[in-house]
Amino acid sequence: MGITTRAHGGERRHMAETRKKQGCWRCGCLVIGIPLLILLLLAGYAAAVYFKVPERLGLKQPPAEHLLSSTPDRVAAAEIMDELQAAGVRTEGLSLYVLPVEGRDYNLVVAVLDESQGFKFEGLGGEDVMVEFFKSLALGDASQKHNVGRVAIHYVNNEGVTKVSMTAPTQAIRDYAAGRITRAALLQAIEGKVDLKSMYGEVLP
Amino acid sequence: MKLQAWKRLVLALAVALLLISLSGCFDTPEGQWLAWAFFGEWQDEKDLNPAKEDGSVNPEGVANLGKRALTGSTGDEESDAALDYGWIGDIAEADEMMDEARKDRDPEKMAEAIKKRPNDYTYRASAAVLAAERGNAPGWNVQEDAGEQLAGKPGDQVRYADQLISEAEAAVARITNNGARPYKDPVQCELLYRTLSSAYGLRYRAKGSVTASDLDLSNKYYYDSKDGCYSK
Repeated sequence: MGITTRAHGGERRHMAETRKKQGCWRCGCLVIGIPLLILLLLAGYAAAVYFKVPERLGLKQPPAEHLLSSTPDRVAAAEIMDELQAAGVRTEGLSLYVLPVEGRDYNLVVAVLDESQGFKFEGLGGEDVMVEFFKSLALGDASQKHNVGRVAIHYVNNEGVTKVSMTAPTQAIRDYAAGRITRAALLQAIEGKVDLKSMYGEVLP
Repeated sequence: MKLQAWKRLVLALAVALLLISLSGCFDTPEGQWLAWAFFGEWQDEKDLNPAKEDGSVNPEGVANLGKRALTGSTGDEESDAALDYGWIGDIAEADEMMDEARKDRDPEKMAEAIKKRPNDYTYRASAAVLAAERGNAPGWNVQEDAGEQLAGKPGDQVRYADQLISEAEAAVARITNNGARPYKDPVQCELLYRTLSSAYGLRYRAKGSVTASDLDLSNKYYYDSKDGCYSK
């Protein structure tokens, strides 16, 4: 009986030692490991989204591919460009694309403002150049003739890097120009994207 | 006199230093600041700014930014498509390649551009004319069929027909030296006239009775492609 008890006591000690040895694996590492794994998975997911891995592997179609793959209307783009030039807007380094939007009854006009190709915000009047540019693209006769329903602006800096991309529905620009909506409402209707790396890289010391 | 020269030198150096220091202010072009300033205003309005005005962390801004970073989307598919600069870059690259191919009359380069943008009927129009010019009947058939299918809407049909007419007429003028020289090959002649006949026919159908002369020209080129090219 005594021997048995001793034996049981030894087993218990052995079990306790084993538990102590496995403690790191069963508790400590799990406490640290699971959040770490989750963090790693999140970081991997974010990196995959950032570097467009699913699109590159052909697992996901980018929205542009199924919405903007029709033939650009180059005649419309040339007419809008002529109108901007006639209005005194600097067109050097400016490229325009008029793209039919699949499933919608309107076109998207895309302006690439490329400072590395000589673009400057000139001829727009005032300091509020981005809003003025939106208005120039959306409200002209040529834009109305070619049924422009959305405007996008990509600003490329003098090093040829896309810094800011913004888009707005023509209706919101029209409403703002007519004083029907506030500036805050216009900003809410706008969507945008910025090259964060270069933006904060230059702003921060 | 010596002192004055010394003063002038100091003044010149001071002006030079001032200019150098001022030029440093313009390292970041004004346009970039204007674009960023507007972006910043927009970011604040949409609560996408990770920092508050006092420099402290804005948790909502961080969360909203994080959500966009994780999904890679603004939440609106059309906006995502419009903001995809890579897509526009691809169009620009293919357009440049196509322009070079048109200039060099290079079918391989044209095929490469078409591979990049297979749904662009303007590329198909140029490829059809080039195939006709080279007497390549199978190639002409493929590009003509694809072009007509892609230019499905009336506005697109007119633009497609206009381009075919303009490029095919230019090819005819170039090959025959404005009618002074015969075609090298009757197939080349036939394909170019068939291009013109179908393009005028398409434009007539797309525009309707307003352009009756298009129908006459379509018929004329049709007969030319049959008799005119093989009679001599």
